[in-house]
Amino acid sequence: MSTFQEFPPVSDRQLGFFIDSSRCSGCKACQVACKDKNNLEVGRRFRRVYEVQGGGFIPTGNGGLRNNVFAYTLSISCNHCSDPVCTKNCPTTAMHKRPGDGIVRVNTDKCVGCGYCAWSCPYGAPQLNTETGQMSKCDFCIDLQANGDVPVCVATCPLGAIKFGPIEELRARYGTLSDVNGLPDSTLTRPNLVVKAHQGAQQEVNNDE
Amino acid sequence: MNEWPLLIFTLLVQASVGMALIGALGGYWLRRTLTAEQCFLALRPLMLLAPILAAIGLLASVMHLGYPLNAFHALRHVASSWLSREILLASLYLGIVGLAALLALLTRRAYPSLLLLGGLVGLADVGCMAGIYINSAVVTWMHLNTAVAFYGTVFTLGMMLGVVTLCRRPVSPPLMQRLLLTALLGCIATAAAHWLVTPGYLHFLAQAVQPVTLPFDAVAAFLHSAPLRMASAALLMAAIALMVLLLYPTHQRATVLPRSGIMVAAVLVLLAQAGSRYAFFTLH
Repeated sequence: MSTFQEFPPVSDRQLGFFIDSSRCSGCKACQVACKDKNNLEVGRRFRRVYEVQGGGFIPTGNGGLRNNVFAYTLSISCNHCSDPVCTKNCPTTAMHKRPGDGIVRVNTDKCVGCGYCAWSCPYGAPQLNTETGQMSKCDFCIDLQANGDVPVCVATCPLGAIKFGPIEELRARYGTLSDVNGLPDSTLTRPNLVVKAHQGAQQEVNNDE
Repeated sequence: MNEWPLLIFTLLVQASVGMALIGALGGYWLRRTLTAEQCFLALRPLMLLAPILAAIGLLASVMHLGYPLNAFHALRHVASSWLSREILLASLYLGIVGLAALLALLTRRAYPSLLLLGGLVGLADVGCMAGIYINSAVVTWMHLNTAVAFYGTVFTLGMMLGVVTLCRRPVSPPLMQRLLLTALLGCIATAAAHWLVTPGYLHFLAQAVQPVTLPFDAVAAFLHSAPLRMASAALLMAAIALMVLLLYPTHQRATVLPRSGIMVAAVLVLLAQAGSRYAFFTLH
């Protein structure tokens, strides 16, 4: 069992992430920095960079082709959702949402390692620590934030594509988009995530309009 | 597939619930023709096997846990977690059928009412089991199909195991036929429910959007397991056909059912349910 350390709230408002997918180059520096900071073995990744691709070539009917090919990368960790299914389904209440900053954490003093949170989260955030047999996940680098530092993924991104802060401020500045190709429907868990979409990320939405 | 503990747990507990239900029904039927002592002797194997299967299932479920020392915390979230509810009801079910067995052994009498109570709690427990998977993010589980599969195990495997333990002396041949007919109806009802729910299930899967963020591809696994699922359905059909054959010649005259035939039908049902459950838990 790993020792669980409690921290006082680091904000009195719900925290969230802003991901500038239009700027992300897919270098995975955020993923590697997160693994390094949390000492994660091969396979366990609290922040993950996904490549999303789609579209194709469509004949114009006049001998030409029109394409809507897209490919982009998306850096995703736990979104510390406002309506987290992982906390609702956890039988032990180990997976909990903190008052104030709204960070979702695993209390390893209670976690039984059943893995139900991993089957519940549509973002794939909770992952089994095979060494301790308990679940683990992004804790928003709460230890760093408690000392006034920023999360390691935010500090590492060479393109400044990851920002964090009170979600109200992020939404006021960057908009409210959190539904892009590749991500689950945001109504499922109400993620505290704002995405600036890469070209093609909203392909299906645009086609419907 | 690395969910063997859950495969064993779900199959055994669901089978045990089906055994308790047919044990209660058989107990009421037996009481009409047999003495209390004969009734006890007839029901004894079932009353022992049902709690043993449930206990083995619960022990297997502990193998699924990464850190079982915190297991006592798992009842803290009954208000919102289907898993907490399931653990609570499974423990209650085991307690009731265990008590029924203990009382029966101490008093040499059968207690069909306790088996019925246990069976009803067990049915609620199987509902909670289905709730666990329906309320997950695994698209192949998030459908009524899961509940049909789980209750199907109760009414196929559970009832067949119950019939295997009950169809022996001093149970009369006509009652054996009635018990086997009950299990046959359970298998037919399960197959019919499966066929009814499948079109909606396939439509649901076709409409589902799979996020890139999930660490598994449940739909690909579902498609990959098609041969296994078809083989399981064929095995259930074979068991149904065999039971019809076993019952058909006895339609007009009461003859003793061949026990080997009932055993083969039970093995076919067991293989069908195990194959179907293996496909259910395959996510990669």
